[in-house]
Amino acid sequence: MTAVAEQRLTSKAFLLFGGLLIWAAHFMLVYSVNAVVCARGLQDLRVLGAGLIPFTVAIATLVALAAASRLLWVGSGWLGPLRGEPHDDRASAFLRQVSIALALLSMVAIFLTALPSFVVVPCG
Amino acid sequence: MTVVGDRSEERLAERKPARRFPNEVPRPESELDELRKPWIPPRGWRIVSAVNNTYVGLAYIATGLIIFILAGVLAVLMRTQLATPQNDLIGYALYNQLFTMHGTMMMFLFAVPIVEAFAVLLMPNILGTRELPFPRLSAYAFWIYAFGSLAFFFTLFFGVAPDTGWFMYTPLSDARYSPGINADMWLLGIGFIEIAAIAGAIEIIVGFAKTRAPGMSIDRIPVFAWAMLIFALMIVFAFPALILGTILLEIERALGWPFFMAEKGGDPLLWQHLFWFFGHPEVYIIFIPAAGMVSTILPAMAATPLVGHRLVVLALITMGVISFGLWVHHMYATGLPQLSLGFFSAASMSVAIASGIQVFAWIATIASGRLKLKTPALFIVGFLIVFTMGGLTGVMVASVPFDLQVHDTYFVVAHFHYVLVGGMVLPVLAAIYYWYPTVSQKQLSERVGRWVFGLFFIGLNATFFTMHITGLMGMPRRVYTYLSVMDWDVLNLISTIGAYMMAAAIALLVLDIVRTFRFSFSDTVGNIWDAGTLEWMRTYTYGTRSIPEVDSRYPLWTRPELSDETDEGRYYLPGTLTGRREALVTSPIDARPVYVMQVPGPHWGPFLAGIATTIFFYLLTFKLVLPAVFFGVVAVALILWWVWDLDHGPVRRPAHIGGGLVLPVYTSGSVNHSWWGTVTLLLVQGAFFTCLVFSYFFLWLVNPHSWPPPGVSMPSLAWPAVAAALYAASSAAIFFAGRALARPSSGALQLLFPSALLLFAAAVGVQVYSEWQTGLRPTQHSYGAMVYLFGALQGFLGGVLLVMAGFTMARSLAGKLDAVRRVTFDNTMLLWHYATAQGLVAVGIVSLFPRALG
Repeated sequence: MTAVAEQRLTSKAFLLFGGLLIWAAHFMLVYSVNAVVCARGLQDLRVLGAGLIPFTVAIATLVALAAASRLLWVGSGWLGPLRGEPHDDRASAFLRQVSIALALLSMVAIFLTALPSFVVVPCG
Repeated sequence: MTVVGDRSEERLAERKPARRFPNEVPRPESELDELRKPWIPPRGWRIVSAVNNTYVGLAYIATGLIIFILAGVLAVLMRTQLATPQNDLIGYALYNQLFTMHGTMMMFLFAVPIVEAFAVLLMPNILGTRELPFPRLSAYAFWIYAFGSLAFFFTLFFGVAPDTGWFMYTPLSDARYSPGINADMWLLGIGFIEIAAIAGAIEIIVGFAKTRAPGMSIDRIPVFAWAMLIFALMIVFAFPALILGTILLEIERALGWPFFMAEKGGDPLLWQHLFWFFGHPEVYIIFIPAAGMVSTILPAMAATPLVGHRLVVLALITMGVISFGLWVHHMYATGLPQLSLGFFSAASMSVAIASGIQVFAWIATIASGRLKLKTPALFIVGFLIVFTMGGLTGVMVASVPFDLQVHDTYFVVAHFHYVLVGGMVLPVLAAIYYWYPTVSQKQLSERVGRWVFGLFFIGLNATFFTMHITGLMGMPRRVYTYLSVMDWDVLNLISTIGAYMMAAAIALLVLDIVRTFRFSFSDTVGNIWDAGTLEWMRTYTYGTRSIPEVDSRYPLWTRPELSDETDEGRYYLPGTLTGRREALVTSPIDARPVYVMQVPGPHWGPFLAGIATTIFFYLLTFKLVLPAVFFGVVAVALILWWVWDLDHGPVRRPAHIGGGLVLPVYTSGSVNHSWWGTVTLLLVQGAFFTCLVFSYFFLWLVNPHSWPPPGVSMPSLAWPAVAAALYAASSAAIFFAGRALARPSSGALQLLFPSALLLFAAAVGVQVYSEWQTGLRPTQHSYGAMVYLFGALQGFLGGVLLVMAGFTMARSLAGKLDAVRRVTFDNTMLLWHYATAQGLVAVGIVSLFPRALG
């Protein structure tokens, strides 16, 4: 692998954590929104007929799942063979496989995080 | 060595035919002597100045085991007290100190340091490098740990040991309810372990990325190294929360700035958030390296590759991240909104998926091979049983309604001991038995080992399984005695007998170590397990004779003759290029050789700085500020002393290391290992600042309509605008200083650095004075305390920049800094720009947020 290819791959390796970072951002957002809404007594506000928290969590979850699936979709391409390197490059394949699996696992975690919003009273 | 057992097709396919080696043999006669000379360790009492990873790693493990024994003795004392109802052996005051010290020592002074110690000892050999990048930093981390932790233990004999529990909840730990210095002992006394842990983490992260054997591409890195990487990254992001918490509480205790006092706008729950944001990942910080050990030991014991290597790496990464979303599951009983608890319950379930993947991978590995039931394997089987049981009760307490029932009972004590002793102590005992042959001429006795395992395993279950039942029967934790009418007598007695069995097991192990340990680098027992990873090659003070090329995850299985070939000098860098200690730096992804790193050798700085740092922290505990400052300055001076000779520059032209590769002996910029170390340190600082911002928003949330509090006016926006401009100008001066490096004789550097310092100091001054002139004081309300803390943090960074600027200018004046030899400048520049960015964010938050949402 050339030095340039290696450098590009190094920066892309950080995207290994992409799915989990989306999970973290989603988690912090829904937790913060719930904390602020409950602390400021805004839980009875309604948006488009839904409670403020379920509505916000639903939107945030859709965005997070969309971002993670985008990661999944481009995952097969971004770590594919780079210019001037052999197609059977094992390091790239390893990164790609782990990234895709992590994105999938993150989607499950995002879904699980969102689930309580629709069955538990927000500020009980 | 022969290839034994049921090898997978993949591994057989990787077996390589005869190859062309990077270097020809026989090697020149003088080459070996030249290589050996710089690595000769200091003799006699000078050994304390040694920095070799083997010496430091072994001393680290030994100290960790001593702490384990001391903390274990405290546990045995507690169990003796609880053996019978209404026992008057130990009073409540001492009992409080015992459980606080037991928890603190086991969590901070044993669990984290000993896995870091294993990393220091084993990582170089597992990665196939002569040395990790920052050996003096590792040595310093060891010495502050050794001095600090032993001093911490001896506080027990003076009645000043902390006594408010290992998580130091406020308000019990604040100055009103804990007026003595016991709490300060905890807050400042463990300061050193925070430094040691972070220093070790930097070493591990950069070592993982930069110093692997050629060919050890990212898909071939052993799981042990992956686990240590995740462990180190978790320290980088979790420890800052604890550091911030301890600083806030100590400032509140010493200076009266109200962060946790509810009557002044603080909130005791802030402490719990900060503590558990560290504390829950801490459980994984302890478990993940242990899991890495299991994943490394198991293939050797089962004579087959680890099943699901990729999935195990995935599980480690997942646990490393998701465990940060679990902290509130220690706070289910604090009255947080139900839905918030639901989020954390969901995260707890998510992390169980990752844990499950690992457990199934281990079971599948055992099933696909033939497990040799030697002592390490026994401990691993014990680990699988105990840890799985602890995991199951973990899922139970992750469920909010169940947790509320067993909160603060012995059920919780049983759960976390199953997880911690099962998940960490058993693998560490397996690791001791497994890797002992790499450092000793004699192996531990297999017969004694079976007794150690049997006593420990039965004792562990006798001690802790019974606690599930006493917990469900309502026995609260941390009580120093109980009444006979509660019917807890028999269960407690069984628990105590179990504790004595565990103590007997450890005593047997220690006796066996004393009987068999004969330290050696090269004349060791050797690869008695027929393991496939690189740490089983023949090594010397300088590591392996030449740096091997790796072509699989188990190089010694695919190429059994690798150790002999390496020993003949056939691979890379069989000698020395510079006459100094050296290591081969490879690229982070595909492990392609990039440059030859000049590795620092023995030095008195780490040892002496370790002493000075420990004295600094303990003098602060006793409020002896001026002497403390003196020793703080001495510690910094000693660190600068050892750093002074790290950057040798390009002492020679690029040279051949074998295989037609011509490598430089010096680099700068983002390729350099020092650059990576500084960036990692900035991640620590960034995590610390993020926790501070979180604390600011948290206190805003609990102070509706009083942020700022009534009667406090905010400074006009002109002040923060000036502060921001000064910060930016300061960084601009450093930017131009970088350009001036090309003309070292121009004197511009000597002009720009002081200018940048003055601008930075002026920015901090404006930031703080703008608040002061409004009449705001830090002791009135949590708002003022937070505002001044942002200023104080910038002031601290300014102090660090002062030292680094002085050091950089001194190197320039000494002719050790120019456009090529610029690593010192690059590090200072990175910190400078970071400090500016942090200042701008702080000024923005403090001046704009209250206007928008206060």
